[in-house]
Amino acid sequence: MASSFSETFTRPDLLRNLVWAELTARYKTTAFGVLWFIVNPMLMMGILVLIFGRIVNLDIPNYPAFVLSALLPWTFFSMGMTNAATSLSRAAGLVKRVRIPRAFVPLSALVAELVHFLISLVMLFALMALMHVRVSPLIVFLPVIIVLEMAFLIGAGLLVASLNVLYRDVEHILSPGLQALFYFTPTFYPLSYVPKPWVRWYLMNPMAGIIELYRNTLVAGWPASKMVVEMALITSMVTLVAGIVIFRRLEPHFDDYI
Amino acid sequence: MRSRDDEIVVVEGLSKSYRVRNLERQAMVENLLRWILGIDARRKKIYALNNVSFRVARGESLGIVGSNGSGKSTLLKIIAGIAAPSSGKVEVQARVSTQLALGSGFHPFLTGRENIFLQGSILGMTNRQIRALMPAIIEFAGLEDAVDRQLWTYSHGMTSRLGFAVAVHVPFELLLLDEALGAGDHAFRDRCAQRLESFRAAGATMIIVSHGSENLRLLCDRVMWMDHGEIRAVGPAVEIVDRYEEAVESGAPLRGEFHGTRGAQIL
Repeated sequence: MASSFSETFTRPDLLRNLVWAELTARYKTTAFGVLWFIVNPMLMMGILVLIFGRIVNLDIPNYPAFVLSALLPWTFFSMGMTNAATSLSRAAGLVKRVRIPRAFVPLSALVAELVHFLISLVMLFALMALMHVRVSPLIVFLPVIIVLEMAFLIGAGLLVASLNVLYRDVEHILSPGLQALFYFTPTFYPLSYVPKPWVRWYLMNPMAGIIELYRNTLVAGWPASKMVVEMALITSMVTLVAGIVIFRRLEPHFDDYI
Repeated sequence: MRSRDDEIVVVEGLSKSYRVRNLERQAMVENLLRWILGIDARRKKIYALNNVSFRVARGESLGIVGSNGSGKSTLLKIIAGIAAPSSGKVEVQARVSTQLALGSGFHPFLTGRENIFLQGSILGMTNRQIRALMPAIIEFAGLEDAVDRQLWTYSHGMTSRLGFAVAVHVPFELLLLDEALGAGDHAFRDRCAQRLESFRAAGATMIIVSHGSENLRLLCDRVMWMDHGEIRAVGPAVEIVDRYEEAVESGAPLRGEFHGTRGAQIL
């Protein structure tokens, strides 16, 4: 009875209203609203371009576009994780007082981040136009890759959200964890820089493969290797299943711990 | 256990216990594994509900009274499907509308109207249904002038009125209300009581938890008196409420206070 996970797919209006609440709440409280989530990746791009494009001097063509094509999906991931992790404890009123599919709480946080991500992609296309980087025909695969990242993010998000209900430690581990993971993801360097024997281990990080796929379709213009595609798919799907299983297992007890 | 057709809620041998978490031991990994694997950790248990059994017939209106921490709110949460029972069975065969705390799920930065959509969908309506009921909800809450303002500008009473207005407009077979009758001013309270009265006349089933016993006398067929997580008495509304009030005046149920640390937190 308390387990209402199966309802998740039958109440689209509730999800829509929760996402709307999530988005409006954020923009009605800030003067610059939408601008803020563009500032973060732009600032990061500026720093990385300065350090690795000018100081360290990595010889990579169209470096700003190369970096931004990875930073946008990374920001989507890291903001999504941060928001999902605290979503249930922030929404105590929803968890403790009403009966809704509780997966909707982290899910609406993730969908709100997806909306930001899609809007922020406009920045990348503007930058590419400015730098005369040609859009490759591989762009048709972009929706598939977005779906893949979202699937991974749903799994990882359900996982951290439900574990954080038991142990608030999770939200504290998350920030340094994401920072560490950032360096093990091909954001400011290409995957080809990773030593060959390490690549399989390196790709155990689902975001590594996903970011590489984004870059291939958006700026590089050549297809990713079979191993990248395989590893991204496998690790994402495993995370998705693990997230759903753990969330369903812990969900009936949320009320006892929030 | 099988419920008969005319029984909408069947509760049998229901217990709810909370384990006192041993945080000093820092046994995070151990506790986590135990929980995921479902192995019972050897920790002190506190019973919020202890072996509670009762049935509610279709069309019946049941009141629940008891001191803080007597388990009445926990009981309502389990019937609503928000908390999980530790043992025992709960069968609910109805579309439930729940209002455990008026306006829970409301969002301060959304307008009143947006909050009606949010709350309506939380209670199981589609946006189309909500749109159709919108004028009636706004009128019932008496918020025609304020409905397009953000919720944080509302007074406590206005928020409660909005919450109650949405809850009573959701189509339901079983209405669960917790402490909802104390909301708003006198005029609004009368309107709520009238509304519940008309539900009752129309054959709706209700379970109402309340400290304020005056309304329970009028609105309920039966009242259940909870004490220390157990049913102390069940019977005709007037009789049980009288006995409960007598006991409160003589100070007897207050011994339940300590037991209810958990219950107080839930409230």
